[in-house]
Amino acid sequence: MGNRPDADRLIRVLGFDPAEALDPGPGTDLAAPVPGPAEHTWAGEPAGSVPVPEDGDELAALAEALQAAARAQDAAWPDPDPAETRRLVAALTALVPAPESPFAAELERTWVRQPGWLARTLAAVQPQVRLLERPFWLASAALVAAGMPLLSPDVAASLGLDLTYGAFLLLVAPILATLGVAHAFRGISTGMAEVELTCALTPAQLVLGRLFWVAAYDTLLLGGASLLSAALEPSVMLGWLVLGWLLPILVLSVTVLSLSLYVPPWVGGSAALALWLLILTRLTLARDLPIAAVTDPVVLLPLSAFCAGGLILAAGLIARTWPRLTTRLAGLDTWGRRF
Amino acid sequence: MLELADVTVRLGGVTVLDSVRGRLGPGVTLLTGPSGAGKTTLLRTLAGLIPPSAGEVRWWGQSITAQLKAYHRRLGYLPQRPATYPEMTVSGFLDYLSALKALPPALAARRRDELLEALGLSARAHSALRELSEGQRRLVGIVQALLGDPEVLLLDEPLESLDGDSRARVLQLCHRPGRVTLLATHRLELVPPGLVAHWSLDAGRLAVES
Amino acid sequence: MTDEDLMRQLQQGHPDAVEPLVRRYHKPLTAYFYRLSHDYHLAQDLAQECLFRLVSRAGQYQFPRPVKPWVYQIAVNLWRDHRKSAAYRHGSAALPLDEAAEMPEAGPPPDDDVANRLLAHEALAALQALPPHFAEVLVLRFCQCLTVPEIAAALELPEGTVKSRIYHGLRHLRSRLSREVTCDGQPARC
Repeated sequence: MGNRPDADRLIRVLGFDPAEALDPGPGTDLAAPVPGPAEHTWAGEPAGSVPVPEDGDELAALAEALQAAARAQDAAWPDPDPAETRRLVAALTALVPAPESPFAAELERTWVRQPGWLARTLAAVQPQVRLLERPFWLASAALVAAGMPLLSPDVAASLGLDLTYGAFLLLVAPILATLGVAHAFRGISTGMAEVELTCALTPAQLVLGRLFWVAAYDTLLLGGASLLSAALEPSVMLGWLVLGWLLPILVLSVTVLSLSLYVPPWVGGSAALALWLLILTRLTLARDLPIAAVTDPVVLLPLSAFCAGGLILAAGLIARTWPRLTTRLAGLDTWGRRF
Repeated sequence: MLELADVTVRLGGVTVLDSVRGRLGPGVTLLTGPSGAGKTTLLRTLAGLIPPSAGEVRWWGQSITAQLKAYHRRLGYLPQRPATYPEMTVSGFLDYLSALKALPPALAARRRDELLEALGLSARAHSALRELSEGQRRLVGIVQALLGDPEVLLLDEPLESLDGDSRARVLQLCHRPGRVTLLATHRLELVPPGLVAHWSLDAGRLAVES
Repeated sequence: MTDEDLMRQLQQGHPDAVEPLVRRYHKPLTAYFYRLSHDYHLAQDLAQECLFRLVSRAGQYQFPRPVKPWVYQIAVNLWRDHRKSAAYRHGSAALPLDEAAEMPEAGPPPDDDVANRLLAHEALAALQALPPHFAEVLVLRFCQCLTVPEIAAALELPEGTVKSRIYHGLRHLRSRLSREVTCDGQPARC
């Protein structure tokens, strides 16, 4: 023959390295010894290398010929007679077993329907509203309502507070966000997250679902209160007011969540809230500005810079645990213990 | 068929599971070992909660990480410490988890009631979870694991704090044709003999006993 | 819908899954049995029996177990049972190569090379005459286009054993054919 053996050709057609066939490891069983001409035996190549047999090209050609013949045979093979196929299908249909479990049967029917991504996402997000119990709804509403007496300047004056309702909302917003997120993710420290993360939803759906409900409810409460404030307090600029509470809701929600990957949610929430209030007072009261000045661009701009920094830090904390995000969301620390 | 292909798990620099290799077929397999042997870590790894540092867990030949959502649809898991939301009622808690497991509501409610009946908890369906004993909360945890009629059932210490009658009912519910069940316990005396297979874990290494 | 989805449907009692499975597997199974038996009518009977067993065992199916290796596992066991049966012993010992070569042939491979066409024809015919443990892996790998892991699952063997049987089966086939092979043919693709 005289051609140089083509190792790649044989590997390609076999689908594996022939060296694996010669020394496949312990436990391999060949049913029969290999016959063959003596001149085509191996020269004792070590296993794991690619020792191309001298007849390797011939073997590759033989295998290719088999494949080609089979394809040609398949192409020329007559299709089954349609009437025969119908009879066969009818006979087989009679053999279809009754389902062992009607529950499992119905379940499979539901899952096979495969709704679109939007429906699937909504299906994952919707049930998580059950996690937010009545105390959450009532306490959040009560907190927002607590400042309503400030809508009356006389009441504010009688309390000795130089505080508008709009400014009150700005103070309350971070508290609402922190408490809401810590409450929504309390399962991280109780072990419930371990069970939830083995259900039919992704960690992203779990996180976004809960953040959505907390943020949506807080936005509803604060949005309504802002409209009321803007209507009754002429000095309030609605746009700045909304930005003033929307920003802490966004930043603190993400920050509390990222800290909850390292410490229990209540600890993370308290730390985030304390830091926020510290920054806020440094930018207002420490500069002899009232809390209400937080809606002023001179305060809001540096506050926004802190918020951006906070988001970057939170993203970094999440990215740091990314390969083990599920483990962290389940409330397990680096040593696999509950934190 | 669940397969552990040379699974190693290192946590905090410590090798908790060391090249664990084994296959779990249909039937109940008991997992025993002293405290700290790695039983809980093994179950969490099989549940997809802890990614292996080396090797992989395969379900019918494919890594579970490549098909995690489909795998979780067919998984029932009970953690070592039965976790609940104490303020929820028993039925409310199970309905919440049914929704997370994407089970059709009417069907899930029927299944919930059947399982509560089978484990003698029907009368407590509307009780708050905080009012239940530890054993009853563990039974509720087992119910949630069985809600979706799972094909893979991983139970970590399911028999603790249960009386003999409840233990028998739990073991009976675990058996289902085709289901792979791994039941971890450090108390061999609680388990009746005659299970399909017995694995024992010691210092992160697995021995297939039978 | 994948084969696995269809089997799951079948397992839950939905008869609509039968027809797509038949359309996907009836012809390949018939071809499989023909390549081993060179008896068209027998191949049709065995293919139908294989499908009967597949459907009637749907209750045992565990999603998402790959269906293709399972189908061929049933087919391999059917063929082995048939070989042990009296009908096989009386009717068809391994055919001599020249008689096997006279079986109805589907037609030449697309290659114009006459030598390769003859080789392909004889190689396919010679499969039937190989020891069974070689024939079954070679047919599964090169004719039915199963991968090594699929063959291992179908035959319930380690992958190492499958690779060895494929390799040594090819060498056995080559030595049986005992002819020079041209090395210039274009590789066919499964």
